[in-house]
Amino acid sequence: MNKHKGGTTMKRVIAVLLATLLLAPAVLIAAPGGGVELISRAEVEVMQQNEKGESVKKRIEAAKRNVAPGDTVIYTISYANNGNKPASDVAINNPVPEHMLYVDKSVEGIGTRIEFSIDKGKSYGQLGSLKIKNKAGRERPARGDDITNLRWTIEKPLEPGSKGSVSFRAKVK
Amino acid sequence: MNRKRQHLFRSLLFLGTVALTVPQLVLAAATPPAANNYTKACTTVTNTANLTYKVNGVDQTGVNTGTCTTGNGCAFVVGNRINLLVQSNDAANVTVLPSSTNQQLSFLLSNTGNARQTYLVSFVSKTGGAGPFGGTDSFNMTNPGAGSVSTASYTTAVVDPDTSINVTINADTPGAPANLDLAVYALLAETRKVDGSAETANNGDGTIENSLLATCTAAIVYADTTANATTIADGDSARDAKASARGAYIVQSSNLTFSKTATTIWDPINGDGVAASVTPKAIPGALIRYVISISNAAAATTAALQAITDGLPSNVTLDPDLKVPAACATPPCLVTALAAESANGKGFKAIVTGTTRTGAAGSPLANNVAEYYTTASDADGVEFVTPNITLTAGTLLPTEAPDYPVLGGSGQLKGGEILTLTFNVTVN
Repeated sequence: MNKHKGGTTMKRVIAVLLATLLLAPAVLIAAPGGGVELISRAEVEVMQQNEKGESVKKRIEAAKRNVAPGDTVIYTISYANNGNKPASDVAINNPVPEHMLYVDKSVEGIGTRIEFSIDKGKSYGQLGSLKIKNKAGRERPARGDDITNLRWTIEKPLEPGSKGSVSFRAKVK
Repeated sequence: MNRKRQHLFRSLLFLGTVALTVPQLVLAAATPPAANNYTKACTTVTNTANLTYKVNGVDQTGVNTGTCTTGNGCAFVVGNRINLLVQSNDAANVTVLPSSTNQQLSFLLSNTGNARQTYLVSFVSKTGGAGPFGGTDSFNMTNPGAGSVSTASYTTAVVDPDTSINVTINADTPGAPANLDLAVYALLAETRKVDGSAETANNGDGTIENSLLATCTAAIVYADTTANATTIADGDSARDAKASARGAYIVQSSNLTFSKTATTIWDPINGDGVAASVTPKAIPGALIRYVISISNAAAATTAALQAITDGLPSNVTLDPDLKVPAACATPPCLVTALAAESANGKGFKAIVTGTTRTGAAGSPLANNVAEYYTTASDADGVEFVTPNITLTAGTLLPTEAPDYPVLGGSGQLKGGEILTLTFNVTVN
C-alpha cells in the first residue's frame, strides 16, 4: 500500500465527514420536495438583559432551556421555494404536537388563510364556527385547547426563491 | 399528682373499678389533589408539519419537516416540574388522654409534579406555635417519632406523579398535661430524587432520575409556589421543592371526682333526732344513708362510665326500701315510723344533676329527677349481690342519640354532670 496515497485517501474521508457534519442540520431538517422545503423550530421566549442592561425578550431553542409542563413553546414553520417554478395552492398542515395544547389566538401567518380542525384534520374551519359536543350532545364553541390541527393556506403563489414562515404557540400538558 | 387526681385515685380504690374511655375523633383523610396528568418528565416532544402545493396546476408530492430531534432545534425534552403538597389528614386536633401511647398525627403527602420522586420527611415541635385548628402549643408529647417518622427525618419510598402516601407522627402523651392542652407539630417534606439524593433546580441540564421513563438531562423546575408566614416558619418557602402542614394533639381528659358520704338519719331511740335536738346515732337498728357522687368537671371531656362497685361492710344490712323517717304530724315529735321514700322494694335512688339532657323514660338523665331501682339482681342498672352494690352505667345512663355522635354508646357522663347514687343500710 502506498503510504502517500493512503494519506490522501484519509484526508478525503475526513473532508467528506466534515462536509457531512456541516451540512447535517440542513439535510436532517429540510426535506427536499421538488424545490420546496419545510423546517420546524421549537423555541421558548425568555427575558434577558441586553448590553444596555434593559430586559428584552429573546427566543432560544426549547431543547436548551427550561421546558416543563405548563410552559409555552413557540413553533415556527419556515418554508422556502428553492425550485425554479412558482408553487401554487401552498398549504401547511401542522397537527398540534402530542403532549401539547394549542394556545388560543397564538397562531400567526402573514399572507395566509388560517383554519383550525378539532377532528384531527378531517375538517377545517374558523375557530368561531367550530363546536364541540359533550357527552350529553350539547354543543359549545371550541376553545384553543380543543384544536387538533392548524392549516395555513398561502394566498399567493410562492415564487421561486421566496420564503416565509408561520407560527403558533403551544403549552406543555 | 394534684389534689383532684389524688382524690380520684382514692375514690377509685374505695369504690372499686371505674373504667373510663374518652371519645376519639374519627380520622378524616384529606382529599388528594386532583390529578394534573402532566406530561411525564423526560418525554421528548416532536413536531411534524407537512406542506402540499401545485406546480403549473399539478399536485406535487407533499413535503414534511423531516426528522425532528433535539439536536436540530425541532424537538425538546420535557423537564421535571417538581411540586408537592402536604395536608393534614386530621379534620381537627387529635384528642389524646394523658399517659396514652402511640398517638398519631396523620398527613397526606402528594406528588403533584411529573416525575417519580422520594421525599425527605421530618417534623418539628412548634413550641408556642399556633395550632392548625386554633389554639397555641402548650406542651410537648414524648417519644415523638415512634412511628413512620422514626428518627429526626427519613426518606419515603418512591411516589409516582399524581399519587399520595400517608405519613404519620407517632408520639406518647405525658401524664401531666391539663385538659385542653395543645401540642403542635409541623411536618416538612422535601423533594428528593428516586435514589434519595437532593434535587437542585436547573435551567436545562439537570439530571432527572425518572424510573417511569429513562433518566434524562433536562430542566428541573421548582413549581411549588404556595407559601405563607406559617409555612415559611416551618421551613417551607415558595419554589424550594418543600411542603409542610401542621397537626396538633389536644388533651381531653375527663375530670372525674368521686365522693361518698354516710349520714345516720334515724335510730330507734332518737328517731330523726329533731325532737331532742340530737343527731341520730349509729346504734344497732339505726338507718345510715350513703350518697355516692361521681362528677365530671365543667368543660371536661365526656367520660364513658362502665361499672361502679361498692362493697358493704359485714355489720350492716342493705335497706331494701330506701326508708325515710315518717313525717311528723306536729313537730317536734319523736319519729318512730319509717316509710319507703319511693316504694317498697326500691332501695336505690339515682339522679343526674347539672345536665341539659332531657333524659329518657326510666333513666335518671332528666335534670334533677330521681329514678328508683330495686335491690334485686334484675339488671335494672343497680344490683345488689351481697356484699356488693354494682352500678352499671351503660344501663343507668342510656344512649341519647344526639349526644353520642362518636362512641354511639351509653353510660356517658358529660362535663358538668353529677351522677348520685343513694342507698341506706341498717346497722346490725
